[in-house]
Amino acid sequence: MRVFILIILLIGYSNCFAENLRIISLMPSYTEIVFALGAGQQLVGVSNFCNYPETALEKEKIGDYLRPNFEKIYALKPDIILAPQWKNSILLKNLNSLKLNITQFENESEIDDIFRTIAIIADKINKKSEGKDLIKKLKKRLKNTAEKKVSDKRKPKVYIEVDAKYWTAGAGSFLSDVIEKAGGKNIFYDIKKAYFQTSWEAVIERNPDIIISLWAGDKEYIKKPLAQKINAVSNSRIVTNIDRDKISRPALRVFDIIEELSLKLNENK
Amino acid sequence: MKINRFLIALFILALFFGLSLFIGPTSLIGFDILFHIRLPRVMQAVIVGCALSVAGVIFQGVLKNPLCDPYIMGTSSGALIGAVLAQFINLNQNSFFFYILIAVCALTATLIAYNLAKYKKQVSNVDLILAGVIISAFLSALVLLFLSLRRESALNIVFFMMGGLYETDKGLLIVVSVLVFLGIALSLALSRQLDIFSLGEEKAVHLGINTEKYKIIYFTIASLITACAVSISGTIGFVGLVVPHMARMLVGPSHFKLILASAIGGSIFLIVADAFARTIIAPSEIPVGIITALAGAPFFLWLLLRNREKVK
Repeated sequence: MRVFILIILLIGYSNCFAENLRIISLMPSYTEIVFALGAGQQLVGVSNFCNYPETALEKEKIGDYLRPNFEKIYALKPDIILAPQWKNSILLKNLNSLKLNITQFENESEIDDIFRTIAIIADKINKKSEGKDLIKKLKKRLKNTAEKKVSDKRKPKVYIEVDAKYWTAGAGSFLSDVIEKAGGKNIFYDIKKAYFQTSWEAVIERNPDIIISLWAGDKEYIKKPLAQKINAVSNSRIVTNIDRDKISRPALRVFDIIEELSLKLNENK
Repeated sequence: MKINRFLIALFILALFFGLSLFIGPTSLIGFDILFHIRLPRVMQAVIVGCALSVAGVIFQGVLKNPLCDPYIMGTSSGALIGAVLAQFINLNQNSFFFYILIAVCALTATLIAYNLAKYKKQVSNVDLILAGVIISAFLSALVLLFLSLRRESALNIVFFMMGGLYETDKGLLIVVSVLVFLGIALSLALSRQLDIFSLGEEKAVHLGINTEKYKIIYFTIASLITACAVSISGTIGFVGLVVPHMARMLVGPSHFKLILASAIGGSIFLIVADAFARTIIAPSEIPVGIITALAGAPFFLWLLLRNREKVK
């Protein structure tokens, strides 16, 4: 009987131990995923940019991923730090010298990479089965969207403007893949640069059927020179009210955006 | 002879103007693209090039300091802080007030630098440059402070700092060109006094020139045309520094010729730089400010070394 109680106690203790992982997330996307896996209450620190779900706003802020506050991180005694890859930076070395447990992720450059990130996070925070369910659910949603797709030639051509002065996304960028998954074709699919600055001339030449703007309203485009030569403008197919956080974070809400865009890209067709 | 040279220079400008119209990221050259997109852009290059070079000539002439240009005088930092202020009060980059704010800030920064340097109704050149550097450094610190506080709008400011010729409002372009050409005409009319200035301030006073009055007039002209240029194209460096020196090598120190030559030379320099900016990695673009700095800095270094040899 005593042994039995001891075992129960041990199991209880180990469960308790697993539940009490102290997690710090340095990226908004990781924070969203941790919450989606049902481990939100274990997050003890998040980055300044983590604003979703709303409860993330109440968490301790530890700066941003480029300039994390070492003192605060150390004081929070994290068991796991979820961090992106730092290039040309001594941050990782410095964090390691504090003997902190850091899990780093590759940059997500396409939608499928999100599944990899989810799997790693689920594994690290002992939520494996939740992780599997989540990935399955998301993959199913993606497949349902994909079924509406048309053949490559009839795909609507999309110009996505990330910022003023014609900053756009090229091949191999996350946003380019979002367009692809929503059933569109990026007009700069042949430019092997993730993000670059183009010109209005080049946009006119490539004549997109749809313009997605993450920073301006449709009036911005209508008044530009020769705007009427562009199908997107003459057919008034300019998408402007896209939430910047939702579309650019490799987390869960981008799947809402893909579904939303897929409807907009394929209407009247 | 003088007229002939001037005509040749204008002809070269026209040649580059025409050539650059046919250079661009698109393969299709229709009348529409030429007329509605390239033409305004090349016009913009002409106006900005003129404005920055002439402002450089004026600053260098008045201060008798060959290293002076709108960037050292604090004028462009003033314009930059104007752009930052606009972000702070959520002023759209397309609204007319955005440009007015920039012009006002550029002028204010230059005048503050001037008044800081003014002591007992005299302005020493060294003090003026020091004041300009101090104002620039202080304003740059403010810009950086803003960047670190409001990172979400940091990109806009960075683009503005890099400088580039993107299509602007046509009405604005017309207003700016009128202002710039008025400024150049005025400085041509006052070029005799500028010649006397370059003899040295003391001699100018003895020759009967009210130096303080003329200094303020010149600074106002130079700041105004700089602000015009900055407001439509962001901060483009090295044009105001390099072009006047090249012009001086070609036409000599007389300011009437120098202003004309710099105006034409500045236009050509910026037209060529912009043609590079939009074609080298088309359909991507490089901000033209980077090209002018890349071309201008080594040239300036060469100029310095060359002068050093002459002194020996």
